[in-house]
Parts: sequence; structure tokens; C-alpha cells
Amino acid sequence: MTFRASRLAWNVLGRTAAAAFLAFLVAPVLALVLSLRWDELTAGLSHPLAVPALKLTLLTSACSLLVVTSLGTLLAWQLALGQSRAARWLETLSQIPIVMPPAVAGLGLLLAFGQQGVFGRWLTSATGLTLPFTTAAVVMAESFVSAPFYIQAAVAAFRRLDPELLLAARSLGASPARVFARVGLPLSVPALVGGAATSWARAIGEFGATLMFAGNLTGRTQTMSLAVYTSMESDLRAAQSLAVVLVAVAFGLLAALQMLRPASAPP
Amino acid sequence: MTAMEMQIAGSAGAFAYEVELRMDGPGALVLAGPNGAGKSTALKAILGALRPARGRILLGGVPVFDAAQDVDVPTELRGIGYVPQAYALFPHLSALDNAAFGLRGPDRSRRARSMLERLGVGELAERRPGSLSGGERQRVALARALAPEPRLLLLDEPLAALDVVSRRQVRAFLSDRLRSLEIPSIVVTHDLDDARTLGDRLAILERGRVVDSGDLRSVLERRASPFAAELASPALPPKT
Repeated sequence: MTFRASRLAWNVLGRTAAAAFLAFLVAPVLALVLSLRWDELTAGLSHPLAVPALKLTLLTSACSLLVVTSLGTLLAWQLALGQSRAARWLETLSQIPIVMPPAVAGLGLLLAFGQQGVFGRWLTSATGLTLPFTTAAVVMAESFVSAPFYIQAAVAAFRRLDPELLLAARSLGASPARVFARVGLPLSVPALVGGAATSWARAIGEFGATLMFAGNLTGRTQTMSLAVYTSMESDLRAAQSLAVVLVAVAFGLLAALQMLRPASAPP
Repeated sequence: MTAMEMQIAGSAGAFAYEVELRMDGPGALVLAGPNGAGKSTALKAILGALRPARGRILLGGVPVFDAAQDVDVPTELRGIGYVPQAYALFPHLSALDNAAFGLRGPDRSRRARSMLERLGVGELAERRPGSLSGGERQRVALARALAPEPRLLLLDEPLAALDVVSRRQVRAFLSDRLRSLEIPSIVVTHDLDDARTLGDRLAILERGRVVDSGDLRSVLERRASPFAAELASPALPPKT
């Protein structure tokens, strides 16, 4: 085969494969949107589950985003600075939720923080509080499953920082906290925003761990994903409407977050 | 009382080092040697970024590191000005904010601007490092390191990031500046021209040990090692 023919074949095959795979990724979204009439969508939005579930999803995913970005940033900084083998192991530990099936994660949360759980029973005896089947449990479940995505992005961003920048800052009298706040954090913002967006998307779509640990109580623990699941049992069109709204909200939030993200990291 | 005194020993992997250096007052000491000689190890130890197994480091007679006494003052409290090899200016801050980074108090901006002006880059105060030339970056990095009035200035391969043309101009500028400082400075380099021109005193480091040190002329004349001989060859006529 000549060079030109080989190049042509590569272009045709490569682009066809890329287009086919992209179509596969977009097809479910298109099917959700295109097979729904406008009146069916508006009827679905007036479904009694829709508004409470949407409000709860936005509230809990925003709370989990706050938890994940604040505590996750501090954890990622410590992990990124660690050079030892133990630090690598701790980093692997922080990624465990990614490999846990959501239902297993929910069971784990229940056994850890449930009323009779390993830590939950201390909490209940000390404060009288119980976590399962509360809105706080939804936030915990969403934080648990979404945190690794943010931590991974943040650790990678912090590791990319030039160590000489950090050493120069320290030589100028900056404490470790000031080095983090004035140098490490601002230089990593673009990557952190990207990680936060992925993490938020995961939290918005969370289903299994929430169902196991927080239940499916309208207005209290029923997020959009759970509302779609519940309405599927009685009204497929209503479920589809809720699903379209969930996709639109998630996509809108992610698009907004990406627009806030600086175009590129400073050189 | 010495300005800087250091006797340190240890190992980093398979590389063992045992370095002794001493500076009695202001002036520039060039710490020269081939790649892998241990120059960066010595520099990082002075800065506090590396903890030697044995020995001690005194600045102005005060120990900042003493393995036997378990003294290890953190980098941020050592009062050392540091100019890294590629200058490591904070890319998200203006030249002025870079120069003011190590300063505290309400007049920090004025003091930083004054330092930039002394180094001839006052007009670049609002510019970000990304828009500066290599020579300009070096001056801003020098201003940043000198603004907090350090006890000692360390420069790591200060001309390595420059192209050949600007290197000659910056070398002359830097040489003048270092000689006029009231504090001691240590210039780490593997470049022969830099080693011959940037300081009054020279220490040759090879395989983790100082093989010769003293005033520039006498070290070049003694040619105590292959690197020293190479260093001396264009500057002095060969021995007969």
C-alpha cells in the first residue's frame, strides 16, 4: 500500500470509528429527548415528585461539592506532598470508592454510620443523632462516591507544580499554609475546577449508595435519580420527563462550571 | 564570627557527600563542579530542603542545622534569599507582587517597587513573568530574593536559563551586583565562564567533596582536580 493510500485508509477508518463511538455515547441522550413530546415534558414537570426531587438534588449535590472540594483539596495537598511509599498507599485508599459498586458503598456507609454501625452507635449515644434516611445521609453518600474523582484531579494538579516554586516561596518566609494558599492553590485552579465538575456530575447522578443509606423518601432523601426510578413504576413518560430535566440541569451546571474555568493554567 | 560555615555529610541513594564550606564575610563564593558533583545537595542543605545525616550549618554564627543537637530550622525561618535555576517566579503574580512576596507590613509594595527599581526593572512592575525576557526575569527573581534583606543569597545556575547573547550581558550585571552586596552570596554553577567571573572566591566540588577552595586566582593556579584544570585552562597559560 502506498503512503497516500495508507494515510487515506487511516483517516477513513479512524474517523468512522470515532464518529460511531461518539454516536453511541450520545444516542441514549438523544433518545431521551427526541422521543418525548413537548406536552409530555410539561406534564412530567408538573408531576408531584419533580420539584421536590430537583430541589433536593441541587441542595445535596451542592453540599457534597462543598465538602469534597474543601476537605478533598486539603487531603490531595497532603497526598501530593508525600514522597513515601505510605503516601502512595494512602492515595490508593482515597480511590477505593471508585471501585466499589454503589450498592456496596451504601451498605458500607450503613454499617459504618448506621444507628448500630461501627461509628454510628457512638454518634447516636453521644448526640442522639441518627444519620441513615436523612438528607445528611444523601450528602454523605454523594460525597463518598464523588470525592475520588476530585481528589485524583487535585493530586495530579498539585504534583505538576514545580517544586522550585514551593521552595522559593518557603525561602521567602512563607509558612507551609501560606505556600499552599498563595502558590499551590491559585496555580492549580483550572485543574481543580475540572475535577470539581466531574465530581459534581457524579454526585448529581448518584443512585445506589443513596438508596441503600438514605432511602427514597419524597422531599427528604429522594433525589432526581431516585424520582426517575420511582416514577418508572407507574408512569414511563413522567420518568422520561424527569430524566430529561436531570440531564439538562446536570449539563447546564457543568457547562456553567466549565465557562468559569480559566482558559489555561498560567505558564 | 563567620558569615556562613558548613560541615555536612550524608548520602542520597548511592551518592555520598562530605562538604565543608566557610565564608568569613560579604562577597560572592562560586561553588563549581561538574554535573552530579553534589552542588545541588549542598545548596538544598543550606536552604533546609534536605537534611544531612551529620554535621552542622551556621549562619552568622547561629546554627540553623546541627545534627548532634537536633537543630533544624525550617526553610522559611532561615533568612536565605534564593534564586532558583529557572528563577521560579510565581506566574500568577505581577513582577511587583513577586518582589513583595517575602515582605510584610503596609509599606511592602513601596519596598518591593524600590528593589525592582534598584535592579533596573521598576518599569516592569505590573507585568507578569510570562511576558518578561530571561534577563528581566532574573532581575525580578533577584529583587524578590533580596527584598526581605536575607542573611545569605543563594543562586543556582543563575545564567543557565539564558540564551548565549543575553548571557554575556546578564553575567556582567550579576557579577557587579553580587560584589556590591553587603551580604555573602553563593553561586552554584557547572559553567566554566560563570565560575571564572561571578565571584571572588571559588570552591571546587567533585564527587561529593570540596577538592579545593580559596580566592579565585589561587584555586585556578593550583588546578587541584581535572575540573579545576579545565576551569583554569583558558584563563591561565598552561603550566610548564
